[in-house]
Amino acid sequence: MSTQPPPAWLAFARWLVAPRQREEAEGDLIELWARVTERGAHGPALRFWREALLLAIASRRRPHAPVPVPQQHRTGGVRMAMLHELAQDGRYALRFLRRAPGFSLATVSMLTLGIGLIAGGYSVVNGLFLRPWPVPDSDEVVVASAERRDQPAAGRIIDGFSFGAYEHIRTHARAVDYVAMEDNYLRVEAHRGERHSGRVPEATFASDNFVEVLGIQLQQGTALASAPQSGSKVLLSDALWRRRFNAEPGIVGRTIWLAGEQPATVVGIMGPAFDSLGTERLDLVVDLPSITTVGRSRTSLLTDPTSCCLRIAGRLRPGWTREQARQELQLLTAGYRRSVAQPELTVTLRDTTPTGESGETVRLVFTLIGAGLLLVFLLTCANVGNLYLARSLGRRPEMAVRLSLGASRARLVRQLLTEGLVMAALAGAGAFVVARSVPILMVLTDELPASVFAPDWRVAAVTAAAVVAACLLVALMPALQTTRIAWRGTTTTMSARAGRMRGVVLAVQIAVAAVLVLSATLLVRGVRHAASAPTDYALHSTTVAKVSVPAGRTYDREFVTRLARAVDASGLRSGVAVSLPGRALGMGRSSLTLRSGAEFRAELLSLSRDAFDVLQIPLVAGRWASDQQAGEALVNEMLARRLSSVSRVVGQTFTLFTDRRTYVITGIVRDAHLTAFDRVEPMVFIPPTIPGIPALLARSGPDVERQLTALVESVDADLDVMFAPLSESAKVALRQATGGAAIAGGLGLVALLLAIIGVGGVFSYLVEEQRREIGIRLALGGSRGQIATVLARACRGAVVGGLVAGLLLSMAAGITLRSFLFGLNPVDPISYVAVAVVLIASALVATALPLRRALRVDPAVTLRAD
Amino acid sequence: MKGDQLGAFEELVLLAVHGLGDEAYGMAVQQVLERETGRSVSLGPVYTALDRLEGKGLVRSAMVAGTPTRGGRSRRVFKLTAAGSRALTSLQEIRLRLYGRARMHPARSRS
Repeated sequence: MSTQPPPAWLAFARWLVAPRQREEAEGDLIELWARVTERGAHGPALRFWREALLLAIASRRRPHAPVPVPQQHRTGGVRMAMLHELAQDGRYALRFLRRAPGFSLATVSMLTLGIGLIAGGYSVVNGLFLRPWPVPDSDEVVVASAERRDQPAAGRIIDGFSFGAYEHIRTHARAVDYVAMEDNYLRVEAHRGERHSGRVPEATFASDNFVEVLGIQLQQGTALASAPQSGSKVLLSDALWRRRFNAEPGIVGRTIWLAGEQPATVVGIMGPAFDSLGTERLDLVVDLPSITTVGRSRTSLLTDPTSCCLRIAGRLRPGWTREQARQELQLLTAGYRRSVAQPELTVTLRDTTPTGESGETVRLVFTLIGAGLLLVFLLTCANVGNLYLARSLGRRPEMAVRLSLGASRARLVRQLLTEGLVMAALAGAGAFVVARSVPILMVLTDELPASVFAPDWRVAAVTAAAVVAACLLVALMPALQTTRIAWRGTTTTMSARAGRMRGVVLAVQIAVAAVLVLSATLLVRGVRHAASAPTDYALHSTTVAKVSVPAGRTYDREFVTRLARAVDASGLRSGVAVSLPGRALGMGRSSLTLRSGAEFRAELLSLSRDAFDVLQIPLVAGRWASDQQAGEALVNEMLARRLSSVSRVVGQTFTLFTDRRTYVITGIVRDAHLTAFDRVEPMVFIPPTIPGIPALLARSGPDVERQLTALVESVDADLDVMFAPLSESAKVALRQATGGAAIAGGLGLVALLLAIIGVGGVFSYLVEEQRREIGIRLALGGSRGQIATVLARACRGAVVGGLVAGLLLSMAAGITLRSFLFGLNPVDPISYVAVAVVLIASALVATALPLRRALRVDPAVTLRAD
Repeated sequence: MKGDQLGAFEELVLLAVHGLGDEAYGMAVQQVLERETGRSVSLGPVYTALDRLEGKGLVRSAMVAGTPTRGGRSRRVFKLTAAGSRALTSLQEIRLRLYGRARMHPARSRS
């Protein structure tokens, strides 16, 4: 963090303070900032503003002026008068709101919804993309990443910093102090063999300079490097210390158990502010060498020069720029990679905000959700604006009196704007409370650390901006409209203009609602389309039995092979698949390097010969790969087409990145949508001879679960089996899309409700305005049907115009959403017709009540009122 | 408030000014008070108290050049006047007398 407060803050604080004390106050604030940041205390901003405000108040109250400054004094006086007028407007606005409680409640609650959605949505975006690591002076911290760009055609290849590379960089770098990290889930117990349910803590294995370089404050104990103990050393987060060890005071120096078996000494407890790195939760820090003994077996991590991939971050040393540091890192990395005969890496250094980490899709999703929230916000403002317009038109006589008493139009506009601002500010305060509940919601739904989503100054700034925007959108047009009418002293011609404006606002509301409702409909139908799409393999008739090992044991290659052999020997028609945790099939993306050096990306699946039979995927060329003989693999037609551009396919040998082994392609299998709903990805299949979570695949049947359980127990009685239909995993894969569709559906519903309120509001105002005309028409013998037609005609233009514009805009929205529709046509006629019908029906519902009131008008009463 | 009498906070501020000697300006006084009382003290009230003390003639102030830690901004240094010194002495005497009496009559517990 900088040692000086931001210049804009200083300038504003200076403006607040009385002129004769400005320099003194400014000096004090600069000194205060330096002192607070030097202590490493968080929240210098809060302290700064508190002191600035108190100084300003004190300076305005001071009883005498030691140094008279006449010129500045006068400007201070004008400012005070302005502040006084503003306060007067504010009080008047509050009185105005108190006099009309129904109107106030409706407008403030609607604005709270609109601004709350913006503040809440922004809290999430802020947490996911904008918030830097919670370490002191986070702008000096850089995160390094590396990728191979030597073969752009093959796409991004997984490669990065090995431990050797890190050691080399750390020793030789002059621009940056680097730390190395590797993340893993790790069970933590107070006593050996204890078993805990609940969330498994997230550990970061880190080099011994972690605490010093990142500047993490410890509330107890010492950093990893200065701890005298031998063996594994651990730093606990404040949250884990409280949750798992009940905030035991004497924990430092004690032995705890990692992954059930490994003893480790607690050397310190980190400060409560430090609980995550970006969006990744951090429950404990373990010294990096322990990774070879604890948790996942990574014995070769520290010795293998090609191992991958450590996370590297660092703090810039004074006087170095990020670009200089990047160039140095590039040179050091290149030097090291040459020395171990590895291809060159291109390195980048970025700041600690998580922006760079998230993929295109995630960003697109959030952009779309953001656009939806913005539309709802606009819709809310349009609605409230309409209400406010109706209300302020009713105050024309009051405005005329004020003008004739000598008030300027600008003064009246300012007063009406202040009313808007007071409404928006009340709503903004409510919205900030909504934003504060975001962390709770995010914790309920996800594994992300809560603190990431806690509203900070950015969220407060965005909420404030939304308040100002809402004030202008809601109050500016009505303010100009009302005062213009009063000023000119006429009402008839201006009423038509106000009516036109209401029509436009109404049309915009309907268009926005149409876009939101249609986007939601398309997304929901997309998910349904994906879930019900006919599959090109036996998705609906396959049962999966996931095998899990007891705590403390690993899913190693030997275990998988033993299970595969047992299945083979049992004579059951059952296949074996090895997959990553959380996936039904598949080991994720990998890359193949042909002997010629060409590289290809493909989805890696590990399936036994029988698994293809169970899944009903036939062979189209060559022969099946042998489960017994190591080093044989299959590819799907999609990958075969890509490979055939550079060489023959069957008989080709390649090295697989995931296990660094060499395989020969013995055959090609038919394409199937095994890993995605809307596309077939290039796939390579290897026999189940790879560490991972094994599962048995079998045709669903009445007795299949019992047979599979017996089979697994015959291998090892300690193993656990969990059954699920394969289609269940497809539903899990769709969960994200379903979540997106639910958000869109929620926004669509809110938009629809707002549109109904908007149409209803405008229509009832119309009825109220034309009550006299209706009375006269009825007295002259007009039928009630004719009256209804005339009234409906007044709104028809706006409703139809809004609907047409909305449906046209929806086509653009549909095309943007294409990648989330799982192959559904973005111009899906059913959705369009359904949305049009729903919106027209909603408009009818909204107009029904005011219309009934209009038709009940008694001509005698209306005429008598004249 | 309190006319020419000193409030408790004003007394603390006056003592801090006395203790700081030539280095008594707003920020330094605030720092001393925070450190000695263990409570968070804001600059605004400190300045209000200093201005009142100056109004009562117990301190006087003069602008002096700033330091690099303040970005070069000048500061107002306060000094005890003779009246300020007398006020402190008399307050100290009053307190000592009161403490003395309090020791002569220890509080009795109710039965």
